[in-house]
Amino acid sequence: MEKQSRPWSRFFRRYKRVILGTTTFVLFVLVWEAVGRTKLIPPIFISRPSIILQVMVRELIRGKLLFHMTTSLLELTWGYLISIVIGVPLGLLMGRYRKIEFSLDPFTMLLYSTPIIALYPLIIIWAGIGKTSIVIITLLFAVFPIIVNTFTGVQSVDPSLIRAARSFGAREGQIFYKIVLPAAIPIVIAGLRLGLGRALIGVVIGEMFGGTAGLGYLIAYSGAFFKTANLFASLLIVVLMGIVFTQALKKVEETVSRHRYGGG
Amino acid sequence: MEQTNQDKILPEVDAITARKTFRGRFFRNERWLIGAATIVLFLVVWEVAGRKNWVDQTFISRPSLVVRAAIQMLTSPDFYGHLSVSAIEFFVGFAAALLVGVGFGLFIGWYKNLEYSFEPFIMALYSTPRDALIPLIIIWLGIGLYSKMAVVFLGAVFPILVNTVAGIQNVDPVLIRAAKSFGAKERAIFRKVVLPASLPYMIAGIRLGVGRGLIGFVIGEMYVAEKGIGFLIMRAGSVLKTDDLLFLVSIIAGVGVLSNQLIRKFEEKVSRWRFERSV
Amino acid sequence: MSYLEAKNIKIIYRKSPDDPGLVAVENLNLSVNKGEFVTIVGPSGCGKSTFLMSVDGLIRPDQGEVYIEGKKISSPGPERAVVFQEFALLPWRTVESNVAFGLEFRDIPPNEKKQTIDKYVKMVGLAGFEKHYPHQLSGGMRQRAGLARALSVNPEILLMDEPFAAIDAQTREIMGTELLRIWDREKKTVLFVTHSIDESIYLADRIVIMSARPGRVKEIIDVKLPRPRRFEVKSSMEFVEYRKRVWQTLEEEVKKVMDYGTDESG
Repeated sequence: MEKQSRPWSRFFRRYKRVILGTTTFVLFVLVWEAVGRTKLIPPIFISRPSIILQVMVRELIRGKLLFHMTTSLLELTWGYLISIVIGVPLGLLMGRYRKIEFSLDPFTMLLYSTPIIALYPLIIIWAGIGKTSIVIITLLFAVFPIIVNTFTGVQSVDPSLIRAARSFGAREGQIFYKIVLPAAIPIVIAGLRLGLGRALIGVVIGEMFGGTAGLGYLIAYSGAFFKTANLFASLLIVVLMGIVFTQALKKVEETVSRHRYGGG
Repeated sequence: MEQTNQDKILPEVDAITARKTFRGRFFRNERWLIGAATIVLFLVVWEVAGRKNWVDQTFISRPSLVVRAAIQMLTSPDFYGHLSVSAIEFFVGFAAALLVGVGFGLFIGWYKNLEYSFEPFIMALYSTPRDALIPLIIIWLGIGLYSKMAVVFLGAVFPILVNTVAGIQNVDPVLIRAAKSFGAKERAIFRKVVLPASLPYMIAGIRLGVGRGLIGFVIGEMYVAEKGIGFLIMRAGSVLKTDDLLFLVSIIAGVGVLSNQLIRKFEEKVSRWRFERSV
Repeated sequence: MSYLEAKNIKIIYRKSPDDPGLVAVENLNLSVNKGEFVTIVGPSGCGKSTFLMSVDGLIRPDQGEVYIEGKKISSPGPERAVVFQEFALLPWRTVESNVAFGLEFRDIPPNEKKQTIDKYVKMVGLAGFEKHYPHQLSGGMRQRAGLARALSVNPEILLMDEPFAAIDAQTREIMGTELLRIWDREKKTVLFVTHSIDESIYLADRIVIMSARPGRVKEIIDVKLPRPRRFEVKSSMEFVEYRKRVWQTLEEEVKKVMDYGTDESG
């Protein structure tokens, strides 16, 4: 006997994941709003969604929020682009030349394990408080996933492809440009995606500590003056930016791999 | 190369010590030699640059001064007060992250419906820059140790959670089928198959969590605190004592590298069966 | 009713509860007598492994029933044990711990457990490797451990799902002869699924040839070769005749599968 499934149960099963997720999320927002209104927990700790939304819209209209967003975006772009310019070639060099990898290895490992933020006072000593130091911090945050991924991408090429190329008489340089580089692209792009996420974090943290403008500065400022709703609003924008960027780069990643490997 | 006696193995092609990659042959110890050489070279250049004042001392100091600052700090009781505050913040926060991460992770990994329900929260929190939450945490828990513990917790818990869940979901289904064929019930399958199989993932998550946790108390203390290594870092920076600053940063870096290596070693021991499995 | 009876089995392979699915097996009927060695051979995707899983009770048929000694089965039971193609050994356990695995779900006193394990480890020729881990063993040795594990729970029916498929051809030859030796000693009923025509003839009392998907029993051939089977029998005239017969029936089904192009094998 075939199992008959009624339309609504079929619908539920297919979208089970989305339904469960959205339901809990909506519930959460509603509970938050309720608790906020009844002042079960003092609003200074948690505010509530309606106020947060109000504040966000108000600040957007006033234009101040846009100003801070653009400041952050500018610092982000600078830091991110420079990190790519430094990171990708470095990763390629380390991947191509063993000697370079071995000599830079201790430094990358050391810097990888150090919380970048601990270098913050040092960077301030070097570059003073202001946009430059924030760009430097952003750079430092973003550059490591990029270097590591570029390097890994070069390293993890299927050795049988290399052997095949060699059997047709290709020289080492040709192998690198015709086989290794193209094969490494997906992993490199993944590194660029990670780097962007880290760059965003870098900008926000840099501004938190020593900025005079930008989303991070807003967060720190709101925090210092206990303006919890503003804090949440700025935070939300940061999170949304992060999601948008990561998804955008993910789409790029997918298009690139679909191009190269065909459908699935 | 002359092919004379086939039994004679030329040292360069001895399979044990030499490997060939598309980058050419190398020796097993070459990595350490070159790495160490570069470090030494770097230190020497740094020291010379410092003494000859090629770059202003305030910017970079030099190894000998850093060592002196180190000795000064390590012999002052004040330092250990700060150190213990940081240590407490880390261990308490991390212990909590371990409990919640593994406990919750096992639950969510095993019961798919739970995972679907919590997924948006976990994803949202995972992608929120934890450090941007620090001002909020300060509002909640003040500027003392509790807020730093919370920062450590938030940093460590997600890698542990996510990796535990991944471990449980990546168990080879054939193994579960085999257990079922011998009459095992759900609980036994979980205990005897799923748990051991996901252990390597959990430990990887713990390793990542330690890294994130270490960053946690440092950045928390740097943002606002009265005691701790991060606080010392900020203080050294504000009075331009670069040598103190560099020493403190190197402590953090050293702890980071050490813990990473230690856990890696442990990870390899436990997961030896994972890397060599081939069917 | 014979010892093991499968009646009108129909199994639909679904990826999710509302997937209309592919019919893997339909109208499959099979009777097996106690102590028989029955091989099942068929083209890719004909559902032979799926059918085997339903005999063990790991898969519930959409239609039809499986009876053992007259009783309908619906879940794995103590009188059956499976040997898997992928070995399915727990990689973090030693050989002896893996062989003990099946016994952990029965109530057996520890020294009896130890005796059983030792007996079967020796029987499959793994004496001395008890403390080794699967990753330190070759494919053939791993499967021998899988066999020991299945034997140690003392099942009456051994269900073997292409057990030698992942083992190199040379070791495979030896494993077949070893299996017959053990079968002769332990007197089990064996259902052995395989891709290899030679294997299906060499090991069997009867060969079940399955059709292409949806799988059903196309033909059953009695193998009258003398026991104990020796390796040399593979080059005998009778063996060649059987091979011709099996291939005659099988060829048509295999061609059907190839005409479908890239298809999902269940």
